[in-house]
Amino acid sequence: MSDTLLFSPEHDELRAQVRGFVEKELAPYAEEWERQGEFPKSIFSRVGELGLFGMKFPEEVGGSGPDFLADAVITEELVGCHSGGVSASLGAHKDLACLYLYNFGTSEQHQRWLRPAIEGRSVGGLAVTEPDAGSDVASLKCSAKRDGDDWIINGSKLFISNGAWADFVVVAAKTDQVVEGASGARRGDKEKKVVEGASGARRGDKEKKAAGHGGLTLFVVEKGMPGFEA
Amino acid sequence: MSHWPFSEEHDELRDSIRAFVEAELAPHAEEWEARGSFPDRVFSRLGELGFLGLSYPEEYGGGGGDYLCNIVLAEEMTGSGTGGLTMAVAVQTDMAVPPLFKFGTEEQKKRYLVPALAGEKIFCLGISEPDAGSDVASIATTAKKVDGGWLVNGRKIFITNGRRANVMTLVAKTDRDAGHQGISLFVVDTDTAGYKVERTLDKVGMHSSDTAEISFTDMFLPEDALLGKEGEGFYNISWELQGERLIGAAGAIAGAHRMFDAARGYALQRHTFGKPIAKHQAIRYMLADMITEIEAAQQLVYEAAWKVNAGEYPVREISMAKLLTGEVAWKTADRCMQIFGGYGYAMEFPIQRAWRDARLIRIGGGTDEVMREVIGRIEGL
Repeated sequence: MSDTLLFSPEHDELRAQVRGFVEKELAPYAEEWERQGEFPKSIFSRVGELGLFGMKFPEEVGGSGPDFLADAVITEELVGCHSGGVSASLGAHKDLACLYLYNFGTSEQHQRWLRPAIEGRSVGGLAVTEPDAGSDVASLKCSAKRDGDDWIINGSKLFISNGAWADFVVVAAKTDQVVEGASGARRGDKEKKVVEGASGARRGDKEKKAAGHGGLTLFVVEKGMPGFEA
Repeated sequence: MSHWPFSEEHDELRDSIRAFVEAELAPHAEEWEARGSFPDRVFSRLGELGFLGLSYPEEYGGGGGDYLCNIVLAEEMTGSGTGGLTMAVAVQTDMAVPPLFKFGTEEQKKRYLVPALAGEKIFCLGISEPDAGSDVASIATTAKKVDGGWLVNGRKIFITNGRRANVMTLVAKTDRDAGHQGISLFVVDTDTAGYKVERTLDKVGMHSSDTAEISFTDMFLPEDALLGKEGEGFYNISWELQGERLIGAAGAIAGAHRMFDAARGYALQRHTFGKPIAKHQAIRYMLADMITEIEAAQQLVYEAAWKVNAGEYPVREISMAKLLTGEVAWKTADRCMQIFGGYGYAMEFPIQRAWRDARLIRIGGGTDEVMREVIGRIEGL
């Protein structure tokens, strides 16, 4: 029987399975990885193979859910690896990069970036914080300018988990430096939602009315793209 | 005007120590932290300048000053920016050497005290063991009476200066059945046969300080290695611990003050949501709380130091100062790191080092819990 009201017997089975994996394949190496300052990237493919990245995502994007409690079970059990860095890194992939992609991505973006990420074939990160702005998202300086059908991004990001080895990064960038002018440099309704949530609070009423957001948009940037430096 | 309890002479001393620390120590802090050690030469240089013997009589090469000079030194040494160095020097000036002066024979003073004050011999203090620390009565290192001296067997751990020391002030059991009366102090040359540095311990902080585990295997000590009277070691080391705790408290709160200054400066310069973070009430109040607590704890240190200087033995105030400064320093470190945000957590700003170093104060020299035990007992609880 489950020891809380929240979890079902299936969750308990999942917990036992994840715990077995963590105890056998992660925990014994924690000391070594901590000393080295990194762990093998192949852990991502192993976790993906076991389906542990896909619990909160539906089958059409490669997940097995949505089951948020199952996802919570995994998050709880990963802590047992005794390396906060490993669980933070797997979490940055699953709960930041993948979640943003799922919530705000088009179905084309889902197939192109999210599916391989859930399967553990690629590693993702989320890049919001900059040298001079963090939670104060409206002050971001990283800019994205229209160039025909493309965007040209300039700026730098700091404290990015998985930043050094990510295959793709979800980047928050300013698409409109003059907030009042906010001329629609957005990528669909879903992204607009993020944009508003991410910036709104501290803007004056007038600006809020005029722009509704700080002119911020999310992009997916792939390693290997020109100008991408980790 | 001088800040109570200091005089103008103390202020002058402070200026000269500060100039030395800024010119000769602080610039090397990063390097010494990375290396896990600072050069022995720092001790001889401090000796040369007279900083190791400030409060000792001139006949042994000391400066003839009062106890408050030691407080000034401890405070200013924190300007080196590396807690390990500050601690290593305090072990020499206020922990391992004072028992020699207080309990040593004239001959022992000539042989050990004089080179200690000159910085020619580096000292360490051997109290803690794998299974005993502040619970001194439980130590397992034994010194057995043999013909012409003592045979020592046992193990000491967390020994600051342990790897480089020339001399150890040692606490050992001379009579297993005599309880508190069965403990004695010895002065040990570290090149004595049977003395072995087993390993260097890797620590969270205090990286420039070497911390070792040391073993004694049938180590023979001559009669004249006994420091003070046989069987009085427990009481003598309890006396030593008071100086250790007070100097630790003085350094802790001076360090906290420096952390505050750094965080204050950063808070005035770092902008979020259109203004310096110091102008956000949450941060401004955090800083206000910090400096209030620091100054309150500082007064307790000065009160205890002033009493020591007047010849008193204020165990109660010293224990309180050690307890409060340790907690305030740790709280200050944590809040300062909060103010520095992501940069504070990255290894790029000195605050992370101060944060790591500050954690020791609540453990070393007697834990917070031991301090509460002492205070509780004095309060009749």
